[in-house]
Amino acid sequence: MILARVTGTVTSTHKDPELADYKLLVVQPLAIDGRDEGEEMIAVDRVDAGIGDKVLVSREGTGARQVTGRERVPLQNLIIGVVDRVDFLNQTTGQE
Amino acid sequence: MQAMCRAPNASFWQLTAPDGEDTLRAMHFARVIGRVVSTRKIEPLVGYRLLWIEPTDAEGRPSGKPLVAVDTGSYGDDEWVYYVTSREASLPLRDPFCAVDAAVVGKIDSVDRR
Repeated sequence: MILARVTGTVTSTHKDPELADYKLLVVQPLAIDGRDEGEEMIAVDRVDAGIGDKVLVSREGTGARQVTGRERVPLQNLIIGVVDRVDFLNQTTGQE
Repeated sequence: MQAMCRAPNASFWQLTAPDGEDTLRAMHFARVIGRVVSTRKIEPLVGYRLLWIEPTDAEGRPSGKPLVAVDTGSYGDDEWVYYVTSREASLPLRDPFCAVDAAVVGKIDSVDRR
């Protein structure tokens, strides 16, 4: 799993039927210190995240199929949580 | 194609092919730039078109080496699409265990950003 920041929403009407009625978001992966790192990608939202939210993204299709209950959903990135705060041993980042 | 982890300095979510060049991204943007025509192919692929796609960033700018992906829903030339790789690529096909590693699964109408 990685931390990412939601940077956009994707509108897509013509897509695989198994992806129907899922909300697609653009997420920017974050490094451990909160900086952007790597390329933006698409993720399916299951927790009602919005633009600007810091989120937890699972990048594993088998887990995504289990969570969605759709055995043949072609899905690799799934937003599984909105991050409130990240704690380290000697500091805290994000809002309380 | 077997994917393996890149050298330690690369981001841990990026997968690369053994040649160290191709980045096998997961659920990324791409533009359809061509077709690959193949008549003699493995049976599970019969009836599916193969597309040349060029990865792009979230703004549509080219961002990587083109690759071949299975067309699972009549996606057309120059359309902006997204694709899945790895195990998930074969899920939309008749045979969900077919040996493919990339498939276009949707067309992008628009991306709204703050």
